[in-house]
Amino acid sequence: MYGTRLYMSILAVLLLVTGNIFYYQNEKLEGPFLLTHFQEVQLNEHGYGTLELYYVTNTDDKIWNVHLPGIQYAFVEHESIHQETTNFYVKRAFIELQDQNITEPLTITNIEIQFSQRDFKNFQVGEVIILPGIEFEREPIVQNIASSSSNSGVSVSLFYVKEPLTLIEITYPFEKIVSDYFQLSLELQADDFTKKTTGGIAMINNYKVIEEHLWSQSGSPLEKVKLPITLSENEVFKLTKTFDPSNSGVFIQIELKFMFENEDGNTVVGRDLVNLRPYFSNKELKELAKKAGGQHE
Amino acid sequence: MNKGYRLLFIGLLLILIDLRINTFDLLPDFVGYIMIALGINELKTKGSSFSKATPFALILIFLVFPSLVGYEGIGLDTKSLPLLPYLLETVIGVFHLLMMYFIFAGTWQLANEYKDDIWEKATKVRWNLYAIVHIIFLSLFAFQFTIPTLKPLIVISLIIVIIVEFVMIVFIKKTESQTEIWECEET
Repeated sequence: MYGTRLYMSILAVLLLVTGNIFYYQNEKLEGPFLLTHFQEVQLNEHGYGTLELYYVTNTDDKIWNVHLPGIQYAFVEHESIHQETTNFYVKRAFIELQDQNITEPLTITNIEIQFSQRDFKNFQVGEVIILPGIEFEREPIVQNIASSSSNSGVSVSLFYVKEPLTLIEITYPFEKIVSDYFQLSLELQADDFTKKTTGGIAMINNYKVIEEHLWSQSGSPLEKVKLPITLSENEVFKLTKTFDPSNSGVFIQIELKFMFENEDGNTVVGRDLVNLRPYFSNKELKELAKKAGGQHE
Repeated sequence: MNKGYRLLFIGLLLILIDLRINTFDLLPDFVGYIMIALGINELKTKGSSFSKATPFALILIFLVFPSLVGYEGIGLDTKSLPLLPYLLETVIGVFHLLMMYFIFAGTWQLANEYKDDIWEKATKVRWNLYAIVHIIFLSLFAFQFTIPTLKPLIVISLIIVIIVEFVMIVFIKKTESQTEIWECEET
């Protein structure tokens, strides 16, 4: 009763098993490894903040415990699969941090992590800056009124200033490293919104006008913009971030700071978040796993 | 003859049902395989195929022993030796399939001997279903370490295997009743 067919099928299964064991022995990861992070974590006034950690694994590994040098409390809030390829998972863990005693920015390059059913191990994380707790402004003078991003890796943010300001400088951390991953363009909107709307809240709600401005011409590359620039009250400016899709092997989460000076000579800061999440092909992940050195057999 | 099938039915049911307290199996699989071995022993005079199932049932009694308390229960570190349970499960799967093949081949021979065309056909149809589902599952299972993203598919195929296993157990139970009819017709 179909004996030959059964034996042939079992033989095929055994060949599959043998092939897979050989493949597994050659390709297996000794353990999960972290991706490179360039990240700023801004703590709030109570000393709370969230760190996003990305790691690669090919098993069901989860982060059980984490220890950041110089940080009082760090625990895993939750984690999820960020990306899955044929052989690997890229997982994202949200680590809740709490420390009210930090008064100076703290730079972390190594983190101790205990993955499920493993011992604590020291991992290179890239560079994470923990910024001391601040109280966020409820009504900032430089306000982000709209943001949008496209699949092609272009992200646009629209800001307006509530009072006359002079833009002195645009700064961001890890500039020499992370500037390879994206380009910034700045555009000033000559025709101000106040002519079309009644200003303030009404202007923010005028989405049609905002949309027109968001996707209009992209502006001048930041390096060609001559600073300082004076902006009048309610004037709008636009920042375009164009990410390089071929350089997406790192996680970047930083804050761009627009350093302004008001008429009284005081410093006013505008903020915009730059967020580049890692995406890989299976081949890229394999190469990355090989480069992970001691963490890969 | 029906005692043999009754033992097969109870044995297969014990293997299928997994009741555990912590990791301890209240209905141990090895007891199931002992019942099957006894059932086969009852049936082996009725057909040569049943005899061929005996060695597989006997080997399986020992192979499934670790499942009594789970791999961690016997002190096996599955993280450092992940391939060992995987290999063991594969061998158990293959041996179980071969054992079932000889039981079904024996049943088919019996139906043929008693000139019960309907049962003969029913045995073939069910065996085909059983073999296909198991081969697909074992093939997918082979990739569980190398393609972790296949895991949902492996789980789905395992559920189908359990359903088909249940269908087979019901068939064995029906065969037990059918053997009485065959014996009545014979006398």
